[in-house]
Amino acid sequence: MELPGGDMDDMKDRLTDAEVEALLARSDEADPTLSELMSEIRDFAEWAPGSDTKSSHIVAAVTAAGAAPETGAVGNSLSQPSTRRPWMFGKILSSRLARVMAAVIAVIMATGGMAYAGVLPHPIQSTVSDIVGVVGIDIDDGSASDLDDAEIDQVDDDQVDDVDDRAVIGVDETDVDDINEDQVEDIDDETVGEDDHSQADDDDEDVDDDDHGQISDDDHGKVSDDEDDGADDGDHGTVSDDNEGHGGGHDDSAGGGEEDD
Amino acid sequence: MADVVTGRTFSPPADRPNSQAMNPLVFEGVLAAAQEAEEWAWTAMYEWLSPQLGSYFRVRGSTEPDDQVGEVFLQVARNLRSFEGSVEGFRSWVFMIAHNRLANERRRSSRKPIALHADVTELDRDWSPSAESEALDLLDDRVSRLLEHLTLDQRSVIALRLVADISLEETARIMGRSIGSVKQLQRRAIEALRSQLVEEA
Repeated sequence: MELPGGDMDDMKDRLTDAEVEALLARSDEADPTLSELMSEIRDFAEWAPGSDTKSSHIVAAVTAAGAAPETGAVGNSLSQPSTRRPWMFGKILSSRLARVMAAVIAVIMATGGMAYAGVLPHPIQSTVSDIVGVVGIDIDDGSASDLDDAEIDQVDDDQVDDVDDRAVIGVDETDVDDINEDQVEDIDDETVGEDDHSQADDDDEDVDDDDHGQISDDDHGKVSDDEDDGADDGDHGTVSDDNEGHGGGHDDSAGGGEEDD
Repeated sequence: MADVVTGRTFSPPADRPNSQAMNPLVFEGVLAAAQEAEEWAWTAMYEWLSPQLGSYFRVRGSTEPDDQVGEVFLQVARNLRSFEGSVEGFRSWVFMIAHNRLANERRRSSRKPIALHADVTELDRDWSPSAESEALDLLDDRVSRLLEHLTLDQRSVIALRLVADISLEETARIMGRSIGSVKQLQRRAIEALRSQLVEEA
């Protein structure tokens, strides 16, 4: 067989797409040696069924076509898609998110009933109360004001016990009773609000308290400020009154004047 | 002509196709009749496609092309009722079935070594030889030896494009590859065959 081009080096050249297509299309422009090889391959591949084989194949095909169901999709695809419509909720429920959501809903439903009954521990009850309060649902938040009568009685008993303990160090039970009665009277006055005098007394007391508190707070605060401003620790240690503290502050200002000099 | 199944006579169309290419209008009638299990239509389809299928199986090195062709037609018959498409689409579909059958067969026998020479001998024993076939035995042996140097994908491309005259696009679709990949396969296949020619020389 004569090789294409007559040169062995030409045989190692890479074929172009056009050359390949010319060979496959049996074009006259194709390389003659390779074209001959293509023809040999076609001859080699030639196949014809025997008469018995042909008859048996056709009979089998006709029988299968007659028995084939009416439905089914082929088109140009090999796979037959299912004609059954998928259950949409099945796909939704199969997702991981759906399982998590189901668990969350189950927990909410379980704790919701307990929260509504107010039997959850206080921190959880308070949290749940805050959460559901956003959507306008009022449930107990577990605070003392929401305690029932039995719990209040229990608190009172504890207070009495505490008072009894103090009575051991000098207060007898009659004093305790007086205190309790006074507390009840004060509570009555405050809640009814008819006794102006008692309110005035309360106001006066508030004023006194404020004055006293302000004075003491100011004194202490200013001293503390002086300390922060770098007042002489020695002076502050010896002077216990407020004026000395202010003086220390002024000294600091004078110190500023020394810088001017 | 007598019906193979029922023995009754029928009158096939005068222009009944029996060539590699089928007229699209004729195909519509043949397809509709084949969907109704008309034997003349199946005969037409068989005479149209079975030589191409058998050639494809031979180039692919199939051990039993007769059985392979019969199995492909059985699968086509089972699914033909709902087929909708052109004549080109139908032929691509048939060859896709053939291609996948070989892929499945290769998967099943992946642990067994493939001996092409033994396959050709087996083919020759079962195949009904033509008058010239005996004279071409030597040539067949040479071609089979050349094809032995190709990969299975390269053989598929040669079988589909060269033997079955299927277009580049349809070949890519049948093999589940891109057009560029098919181009590369066919170029390398022919270059490999050319290299074998050089070695023989």
